[in-house]
Amino acid sequence: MINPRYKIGDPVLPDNRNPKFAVKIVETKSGPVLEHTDIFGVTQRRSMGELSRFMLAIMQKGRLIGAKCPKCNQILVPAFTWNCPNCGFVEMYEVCMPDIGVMVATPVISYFPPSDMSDQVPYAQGYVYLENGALKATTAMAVPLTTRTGVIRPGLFCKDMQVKIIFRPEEERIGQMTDVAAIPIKELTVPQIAKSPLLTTDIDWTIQDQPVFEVDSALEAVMSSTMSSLAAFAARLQKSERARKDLAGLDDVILFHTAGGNIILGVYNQGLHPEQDSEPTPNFTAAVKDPGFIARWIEGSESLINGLASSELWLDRKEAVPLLTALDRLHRSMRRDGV
Amino acid sequence: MFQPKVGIISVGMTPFKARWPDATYWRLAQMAFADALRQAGLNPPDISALVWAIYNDMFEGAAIPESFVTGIIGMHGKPGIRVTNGGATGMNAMATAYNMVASGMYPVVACVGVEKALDCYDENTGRETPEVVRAIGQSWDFFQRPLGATASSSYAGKIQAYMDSHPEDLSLDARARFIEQICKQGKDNALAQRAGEVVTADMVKASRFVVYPIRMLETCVYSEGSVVVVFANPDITQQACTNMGETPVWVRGLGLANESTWVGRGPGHMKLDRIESDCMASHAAYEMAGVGSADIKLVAQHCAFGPQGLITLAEMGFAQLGHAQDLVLNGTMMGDNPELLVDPYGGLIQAGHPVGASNQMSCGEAVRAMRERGRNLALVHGTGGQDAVYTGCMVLELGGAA
Repeated sequence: MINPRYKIGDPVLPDNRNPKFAVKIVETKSGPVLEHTDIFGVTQRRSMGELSRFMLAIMQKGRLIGAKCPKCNQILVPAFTWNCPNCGFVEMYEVCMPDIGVMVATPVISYFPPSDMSDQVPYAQGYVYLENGALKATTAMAVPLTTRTGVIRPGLFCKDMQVKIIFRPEEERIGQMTDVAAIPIKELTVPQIAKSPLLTTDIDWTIQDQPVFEVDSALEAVMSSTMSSLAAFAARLQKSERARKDLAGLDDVILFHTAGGNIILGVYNQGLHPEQDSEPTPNFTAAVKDPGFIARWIEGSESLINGLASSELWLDRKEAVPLLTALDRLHRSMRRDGV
Repeated sequence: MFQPKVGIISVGMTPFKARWPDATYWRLAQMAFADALRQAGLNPPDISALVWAIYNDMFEGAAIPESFVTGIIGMHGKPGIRVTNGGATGMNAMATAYNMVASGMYPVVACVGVEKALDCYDENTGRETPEVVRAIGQSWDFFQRPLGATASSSYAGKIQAYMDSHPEDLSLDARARFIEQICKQGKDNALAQRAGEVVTADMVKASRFVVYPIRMLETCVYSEGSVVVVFANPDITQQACTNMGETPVWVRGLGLANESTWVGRGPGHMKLDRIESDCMASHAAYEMAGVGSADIKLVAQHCAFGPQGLITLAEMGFAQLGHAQDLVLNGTMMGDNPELLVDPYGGLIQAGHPVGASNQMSCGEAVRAMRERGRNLALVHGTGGQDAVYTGCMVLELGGAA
């Protein structure tokens, strides 16, 4: 579920996005260049104006409303205008909408985030037509998507799938679309489906268990060659300035649990430090049955992020996604540097 | 006989780079403007008016950013209008320049596209792109902005919805080969941001998802740069081209279309599985030009994402909807001298995407390919905005006029 950028009382520009003013002199081919740390933006008290009615219904009442035209009967959800653009701007009236609907299309999943969403990837958003029986919205509402089955991934949602809109508890709602999310109906119990509004606190958010693999002796041989390849890859990338830059600032250790044994990969000091079944202690754990997956990643014919998307790779915490992205970036950087 | 109203006499361009640390957008615009005038043998007093194409004030770090450049390019006292329409900024600006000339009010109009995007910088990751992506996300509506909507997620939504409706189209193999072809065509483009970079279909398939279902090597690269296109009336176009020893290029058709940003299932709302503005704008341009898509063998399109480029080609009539990949699989746009030449020097994928200047770059690709590759008609395309709601298209003709 996508978290709001701010909670009430948070600084609008959080510390980690509020760089210190700096003056740099950067050497370029055409001589020294002056650089200032700067920001181009304004603080606002932005009125939601006519949109307030729709957002306040969510925020204060846990309800979804639409704007219905008395002439053409179309129902706009979200209620982005109260004057029908198809009927001479006649005034529209408020109708209560159901909290269930269908996906307009298979939704997208973001793996590369904007700078202020880096702690949220992967996240998904999609369009939902609210409908129940004859009451059908004409327009679709863009909502965050969520699941009880672990990290969001392709295959959980698809076009025409029935979903229910769930709400954060009232004290957490701030009048933005992050107050709600769509969850597949099939992940809910009958009483949960019947409840309205259904709150996030009404749901048991089970965590997907880490897969356990039996040791496979055939895969142990694959593991051995994979470790050799990984060591060679780690040595080779040191010759690529771009690849070293890709790893700048990272200080992580990730454990890959496989049926051929474990790989511990340290990512620090702008380099990769592979170990097999030894220290240091990992801060992330991944699981992939076939160590050949790692071998294919080393060759550049596989992507860690894509493994996550296809469910071939399991991850204990989604906070590891930026690390996987940095690792996936290495191959192209090395190619571009001729390494 | 076609009676031209407006010709293109030159296209000046800076190299596209991931960043120009030693130049502001002022200098970039000046460089491209000087290049365009030099090619045409013109001086600043010969230019009657300007149209500025700058997408986003945040990128430039200045509100009304165009104002400061007027004096730098010697245009004191001349009129200048700024146009901004998302990714289609350049195309809408060129349409404005066309109309200023066609009206008879201004004989020579320079359309100046410039963007300085990569001063944006995310201190946390030490990279520019996440902050560029955030800045572009500010273009989304009040409802979607808090959801982390981006240009990539917007186009990905269109692509996925199209694939829902046409599950047999846009196979990964076809998409990957499409990118390989475009990049091969752009590899030797010295002005391209990714000049010299080889991209194979296998690399595309192995590249990570940026926004599912789009992979990293299917996306364009954000660039900094400037492109200036000079439009003129027929007399000045003929004279300039005679002086340059070049065949004139005429604007024969022009079409623009915007869609509602609201996805819906009734009249007046956007269909998520279509890019209807591509269809409407291209067909308006064909009608004005008196041609059909079958007459056009060269397309310089706004391909921000590979699968979107294929959908756009179908929307513009080069394949049936649901059969866009046939252009790849049956070889229509493949090989060294394809029947349909698409993005002949790499387009946005290989050359780069300095947003306000990208469509002018495509225009430059079309003009160059018409002259170098012997294609008489070309279609130039630009798209942009939340869920690709803006499109502009222009049909160009090499010679052929009275």
